Amino acid sequence: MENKIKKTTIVTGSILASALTALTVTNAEAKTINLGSGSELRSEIIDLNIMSSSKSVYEMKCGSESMEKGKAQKTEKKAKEGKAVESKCGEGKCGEGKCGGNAKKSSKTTNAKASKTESKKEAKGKTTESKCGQGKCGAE
Amino acid sequence: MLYNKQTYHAEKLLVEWCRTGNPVELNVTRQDGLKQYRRLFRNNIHNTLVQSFPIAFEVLTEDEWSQLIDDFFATGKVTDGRVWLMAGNFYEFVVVNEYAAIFNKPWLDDLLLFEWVEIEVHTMNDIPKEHFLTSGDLFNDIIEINPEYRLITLEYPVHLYAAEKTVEKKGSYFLLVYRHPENFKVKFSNLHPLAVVVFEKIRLERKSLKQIIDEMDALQETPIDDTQKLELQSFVKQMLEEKAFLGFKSYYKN
Repeated sequence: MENKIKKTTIVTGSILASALTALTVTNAEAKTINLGSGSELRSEIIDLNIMSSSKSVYEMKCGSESMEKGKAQKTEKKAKEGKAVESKCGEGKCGEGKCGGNAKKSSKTTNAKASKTESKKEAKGKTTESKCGQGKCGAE
Repeated sequence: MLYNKQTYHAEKLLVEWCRTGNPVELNVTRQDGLKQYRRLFRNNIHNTLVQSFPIAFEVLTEDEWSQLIDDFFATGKVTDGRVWLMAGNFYEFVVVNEYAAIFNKPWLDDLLLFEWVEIEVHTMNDIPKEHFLTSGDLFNDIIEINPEYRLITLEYPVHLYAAEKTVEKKGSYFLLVYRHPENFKVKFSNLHPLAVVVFEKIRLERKSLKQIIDEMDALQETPIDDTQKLELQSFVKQMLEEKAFLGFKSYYKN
């Protein structure tokens, strides 16, 4: 079981061996391309997943200047909302959101399912709102 | 205050309830209050993982995501007090318990790895760098690699396509993830296998690009053609600009 996990501390030479093997296989996607920073790439991949299109990040990167501008703004916004990486994990969000609105909403719906799993939409709202240290966690 | 057996027992029950949601006999608080404890704790886990895996959160169904969170919260092991490491534990949990097969989403492991590696590289410890020169000969000098990186192989190109579309594109993909030494941003590069060979030979064998190409020419049945040589030169140049390669090896002369 354990060896299924691709340890990110790569065993010396294993990558080299698979690269040499891959050299013999023709693969159109096998080209070196700079994919940009984490927030840019993440934003593009999320967009692709929302559209669920067979376009690739390469194609997403092409386009008019205005589209690029629009994307840059979007990226910036998503980066702010986004991942722990950008907001530094550990200093992150308390998980409760601002006490009041959402918290009350969820506590009211404590039926079996609601108490077990917050709805995904609600969770999305919360993750973008809450900040550790703000709001009184747990206060109803 | 004394930490007596009764307190320990109550804490244990509380933790069990919070993690699993299975009813417990705990008479020291109101049942309504207990529900809130579980909700609050679970939200912490949930929100941390949503922040860590925003793409997976987007592409999995609500039920699948909730199942992962519930199962991980109930039975997963968090090996360190540092919150950011929980994402790595979550990735391992999903792989070991074969959720990719359970959900019939073969790309799931790769997607989580791709997202986890960004966190790992962003937050990894600083690694001492060798002294290097900023100018040199691309072909003949030995290159110093930025040591703050991970090079991973993916079967499904989740870093290039929408997850569902990667099923038909299964293969070997090489992703270099590194931390820019000046602005500390995590950067990604999809690498051609030949570029990977060069990268690994520079890292492991400390050879110049010319030495590597000569060696491959001698070994391979089909030698590297001129186009590939130019591409490799361009690769090294690009990596130097992007700071995945720091510069050229410095030789101290007394």
